[in-house]
Amino acid sequence: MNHYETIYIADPTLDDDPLKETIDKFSDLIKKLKGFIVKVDEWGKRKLAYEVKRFDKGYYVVLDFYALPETVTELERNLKLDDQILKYITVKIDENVDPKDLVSKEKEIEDTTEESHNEHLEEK
Amino acid sequence: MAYNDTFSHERKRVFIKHKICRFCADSSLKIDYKDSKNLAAFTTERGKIIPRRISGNCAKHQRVLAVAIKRARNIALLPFTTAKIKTKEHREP
Repeated sequence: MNHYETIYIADPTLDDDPLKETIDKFSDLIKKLKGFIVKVDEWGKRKLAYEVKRFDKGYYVVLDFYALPETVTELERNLKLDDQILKYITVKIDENVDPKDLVSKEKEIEDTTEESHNEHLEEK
Repeated sequence: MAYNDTFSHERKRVFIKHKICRFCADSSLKIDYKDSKNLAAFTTERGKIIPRRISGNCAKHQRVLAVAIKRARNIALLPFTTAKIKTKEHREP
């Protein structure tokens, strides 16, 4: 499993509901293909450095996830087919990550956040 | 010293050369293709990548930086060129 990061630019003229639908569609696709999503970061509407499909603005979404290479090809195929996606790029950040490590890491993060949360409660 | 004075004057007008690689000097600085603001500092007004001899970056970091700028261009965070502005003016009189 590898660590990937995908940025895609969605149509800025979309309303909130269809926009949410498309974002969820791609996140669900990764989950369905046995990938782990770390973060879905929505940058929102940003000015593009150059026109893409006659748009000068775009809605940027960053997907941070762990997945198999096949998952990425499938994700990119879907991004390519979607008319509401103007552009996308996938970057491999880390190679050969063991899924077992990921699960333990996730638990650690959960534990630490819970602890800090509890500490906050005690302080109050 | 007259020669030196004129020389430095000319140099100043063209560019200010950095002698130390910024990324080596400060390890907290990271090159990220998503960080378009910092990458833009290493491009000219025209959108070209500033050469190493001017920016002063070491070979290793210049390579990483060049890749980052090219990735940023790919997702429209940085321009390939700014000639677009000119064509627009021509189209809309």
